[in-house]
Amino acid sequence: VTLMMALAVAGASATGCQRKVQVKSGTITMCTAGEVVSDDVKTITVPANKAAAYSVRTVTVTCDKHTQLQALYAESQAALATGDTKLAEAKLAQVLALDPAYGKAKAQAAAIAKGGKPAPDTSLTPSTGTTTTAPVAPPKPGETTTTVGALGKWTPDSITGFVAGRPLSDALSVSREYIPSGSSPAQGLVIVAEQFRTAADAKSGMEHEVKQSYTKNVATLKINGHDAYFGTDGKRFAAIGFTDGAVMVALELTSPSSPQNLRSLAEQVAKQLP
Amino acid sequence: VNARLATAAALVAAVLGAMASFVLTTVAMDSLPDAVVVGVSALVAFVLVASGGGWRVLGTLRAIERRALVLGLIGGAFAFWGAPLLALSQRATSAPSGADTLFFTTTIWGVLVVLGAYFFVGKRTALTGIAGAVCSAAGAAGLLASWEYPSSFSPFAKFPVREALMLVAGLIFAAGVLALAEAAARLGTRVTATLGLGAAAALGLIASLPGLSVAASAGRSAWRPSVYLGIAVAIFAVSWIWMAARAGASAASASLLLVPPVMTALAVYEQSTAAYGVNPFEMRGVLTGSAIVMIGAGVVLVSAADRDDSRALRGRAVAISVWVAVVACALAVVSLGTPSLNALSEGHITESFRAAWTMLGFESAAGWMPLAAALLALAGSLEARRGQAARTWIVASLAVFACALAMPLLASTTLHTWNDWIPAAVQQTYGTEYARFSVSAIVDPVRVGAIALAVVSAGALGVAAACGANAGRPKEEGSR
Repeated sequence: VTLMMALAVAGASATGCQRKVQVKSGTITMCTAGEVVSDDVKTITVPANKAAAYSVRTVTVTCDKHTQLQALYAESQAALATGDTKLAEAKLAQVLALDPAYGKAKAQAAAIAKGGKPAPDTSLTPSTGTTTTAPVAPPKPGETTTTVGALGKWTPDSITGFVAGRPLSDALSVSREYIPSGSSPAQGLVIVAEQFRTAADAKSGMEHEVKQSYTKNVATLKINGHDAYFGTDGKRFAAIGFTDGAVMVALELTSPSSPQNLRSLAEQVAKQLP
Repeated sequence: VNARLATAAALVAAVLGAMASFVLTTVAMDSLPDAVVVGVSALVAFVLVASGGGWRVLGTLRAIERRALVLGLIGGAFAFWGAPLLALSQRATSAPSGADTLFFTTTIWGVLVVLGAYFFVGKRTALTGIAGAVCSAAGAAGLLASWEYPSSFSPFAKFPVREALMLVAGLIFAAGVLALAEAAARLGTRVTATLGLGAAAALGLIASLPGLSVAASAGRSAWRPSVYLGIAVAIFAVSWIWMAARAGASAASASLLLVPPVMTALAVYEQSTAAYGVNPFEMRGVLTGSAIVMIGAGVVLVSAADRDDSRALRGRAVAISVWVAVVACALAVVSLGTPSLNALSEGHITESFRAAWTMLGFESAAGWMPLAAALLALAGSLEARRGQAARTWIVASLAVFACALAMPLLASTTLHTWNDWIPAAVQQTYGTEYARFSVSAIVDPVRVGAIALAVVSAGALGVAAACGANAGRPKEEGSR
């Protein structure tokens, strides 16, 4: 029996060495607007020792349609700003033909149709939050065309007084943990940057994800030109949040108690961001 | 009754001593060099045992039989210095994991002692002892693999060399404690423990010399865990040697087999007090594994009973039981290499990784249940035929049924979570929102057949016993 056991385990181990594994491999290209542009992911069977070489890469770009939308919408808003409602109406009509729910196009077009002069939408700028406006092209090794690449600026490698951890990212967000490098009133710091479709969505995200979570010791701040929100949970966490176009940035600090005392540190950290 | 109570007390003391030794070694190893930890603990243990009357041994050394003296000295040096030092030298923080280390330095050491006691000690224990030890080890694997999910229990996956050397340490330990058991049978517990721990302390002090300068600079608090470890070693050594002298080394090794469930029980209690947050235990696997460990240890304990040829079972049912168990063993061995689990690893770090594969029987806790059950059935039927005390094979047969019940409960418990071919970044983030590892059980007819035949074998033995198939009975009836 012992011999049989040894043979079986040896045989099984040998089988394990030649084990076949099903892996997924390919690239998913997503538009910053959230649509899947292309998906060539396949499931293939490979030897286990080769499995780590296969992965699914997600590339985020601004697709042709949304590049065109951004340009047309920007032109329509520029026309509204200069009072050229006729040109604005034409551009808005083109926008609505492509995407009836894009920005404030529908409301502005309706206002113009009624003879009004709607105010231009300043919250949505064509380049904000996107990483490339080029047409979709196959990604090349090492290229930094992902949204994460653009969001990476909000999680810098160096923050005074902290040691950066490894950033964690997916297609539309990035987060990074920082540990105090010396004596600090904070136990830890996390910075999160999240890409939204529009600036309005980002502001809405801030309402839900930051303002509703940190309702104590509230203050409004001006950080590097951004209107920022400071709040705590009254127990351990303090946070500063702001939006930059369609990107929401939140930094959260923890302390054993009295999170309101973290405000000046939170401001110092926030000022080191773009 | 007093003898049973004393044995039970010694067993409890040995389990607690072994468990405390493991825990305190984990604490002490980060504060002092390995050789100093082992040396100091052996010295403290020696002083404690010697102060309990052992000093008189030193004055009577010449009167001690030379063979027993040598066995006591070498046994102690092996069991309480060589083996712990080799095992400790292979340990680093979480490398191997605590579950792996506990398995390789308690359960496996216990199994090795049982094997050594069967093959190398003059008076053989019943074959059911080995089967019980295998059963207990299979249960311990299921238990330790259920400490958390995904489990960090993956023998020979991440640190095969370190774990193989822990096995070597187990061989040294087994040789040592078997020698001590032999010495204790002639010299008694106190003399044997004093000799053994004295030898370990002497070697420990010599080996500690190079590390003393480092240790001297450490504060008093750094030495404290090693002193406490010495107390634990003394408790284990004395209780183990006492039990080995009276019930045999095989029975005493049950104390090592029982460490994982007892330690888990304490951890569950600790977690239930919410001192360390959420309870990570997979309670179904924990309870099932613990039950199998204890049943296996119970089989080991009762396997020390004497044989009596007049009680031997004979007849067709016994022969069927033996041969069905042989087939069950063969199928169980084959099922170690048949599919047992569908595994899936997914990670979303910078890029997404997804791999799906089939795990084999030896990689799941349930996969080992048929082998344990078949061995128990075979050993039980063979020992019944040889005239072993009925309680031995009855307990073994009951253990077969327990294994059969445990198999579906451990069906999704994997013994191989970690793989060297999955990106480390994915495996390290298992259990977070960024990565996961999941398995689903596969019903394998070979495995089911093996455990079914083991149950049939145990049942046939029960039928044989119920029908009065004793070898001696016809003779008795004839005489009437």
